[in-house]
Amino acid sequence: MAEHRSNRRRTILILLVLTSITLITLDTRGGDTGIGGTVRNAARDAFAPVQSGVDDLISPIGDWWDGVTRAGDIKRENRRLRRELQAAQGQVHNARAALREIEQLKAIAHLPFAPTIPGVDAQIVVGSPGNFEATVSVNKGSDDGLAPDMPVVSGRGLLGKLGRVSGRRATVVLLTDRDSGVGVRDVRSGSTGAVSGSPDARMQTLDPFDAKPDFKVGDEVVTIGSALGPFPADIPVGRVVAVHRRPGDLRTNVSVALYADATDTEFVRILQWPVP
Amino acid sequence: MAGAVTVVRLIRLTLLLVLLVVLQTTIVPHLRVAGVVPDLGLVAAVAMAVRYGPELGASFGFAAGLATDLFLQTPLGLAALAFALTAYAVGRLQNSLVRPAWWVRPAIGAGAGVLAGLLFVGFGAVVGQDQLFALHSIRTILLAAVYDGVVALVIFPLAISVADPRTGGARGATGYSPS
Repeated sequence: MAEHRSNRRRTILILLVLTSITLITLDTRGGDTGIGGTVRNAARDAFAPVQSGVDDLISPIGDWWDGVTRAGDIKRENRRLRRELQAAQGQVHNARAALREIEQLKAIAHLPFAPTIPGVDAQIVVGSPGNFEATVSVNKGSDDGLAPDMPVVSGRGLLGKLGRVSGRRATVVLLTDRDSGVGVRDVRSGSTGAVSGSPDARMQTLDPFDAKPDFKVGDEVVTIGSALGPFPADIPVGRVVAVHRRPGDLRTNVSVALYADATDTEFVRILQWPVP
Repeated sequence: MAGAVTVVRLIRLTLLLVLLVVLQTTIVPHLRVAGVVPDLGLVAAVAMAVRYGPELGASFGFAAGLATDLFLQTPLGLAALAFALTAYAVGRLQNSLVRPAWWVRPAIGAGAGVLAGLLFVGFGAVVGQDQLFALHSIRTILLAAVYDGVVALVIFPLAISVADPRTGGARGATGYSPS
């Protein structure tokens, strides 16, 4: 009896493992057009109304949670607001949030960069449900003309690029994702390099391409870009905040603070690049 | 027979799965602490594995992981594999839990979080997700495991109750039962 039960357990485990490996293989090879991609896209679209509805309901709770987890910042902000306004804190927060939204909408409506590239404006709905990727979901998808790998910008600069895209949802892979990377050019000197993602760091690492790079603290870096490249040219990426080269080191360590930050961004524009 | 999957039980488990997926993809991302979120499906699967055995735990873990995979960038089946193997392993250890105490559930949840995280990263690297194989992943795994341990206090009773082969949820079953 015990042996029979043990065999059954083993059989179930082996079946589950084999099914998992089959799915991984099919999905890795098939991409978004394979069976896995089709099922995934259908599931995302089916959940889209639920996500939107729940997001509307729990946004106040999310704001409260942000307040709990960033208590220090909120306390400082509250003290300043009390001094300046002596008004109800809730009203002030609401007004500021509304203003921020309007400013973001204005900013993406009048982007100072990529003026000739058509784009689709979208709203960030929710962050990643997992722990090993820096992504957010937006409320537009392939039905709105979006496709994987399209660049995503906020009013301040490059935010990332599209990952998986279903009919009504798209995932933005942020520049802070470990799988992200973008070629950049120093506006002042013309030196080039690659900014690679690091989800935990406030500053991202810039690996210079040149043997003798010329980066200085305060320099602005923008996308290199090319007609066939993953990003259009001259989209602001960030500002150089540190340059280190210890004696004997072969390479210069450059740190960049990104302009765009998904945590305080609600509206984005997805650039239809390459232009259809 | 304890552990038998009846139609009613299957419906209850399916509804629990849908509830956990909705929570995981809508509310949980807003509850990010130190950059991590808990895996509700994993914790529920482990709870079932501890209480009702590795078969049910692994099966529910597979389903919950697969549902989570639908919303991730990583290959479909990766979380399913990690959750199923973790729940199976924890279920196999259930008989060694001789002195249950209040901290056992969080400890199991956290331990399962570590194991599932390592499996996810390890298998992920094998199937080409090289970016997962980084030192930073260890920090992510440990922090997420702590969060898994915390939510285990809520998810364990819920999952055990829903998965009870006899409706009611409070009556005894095989495996570990907290005093």
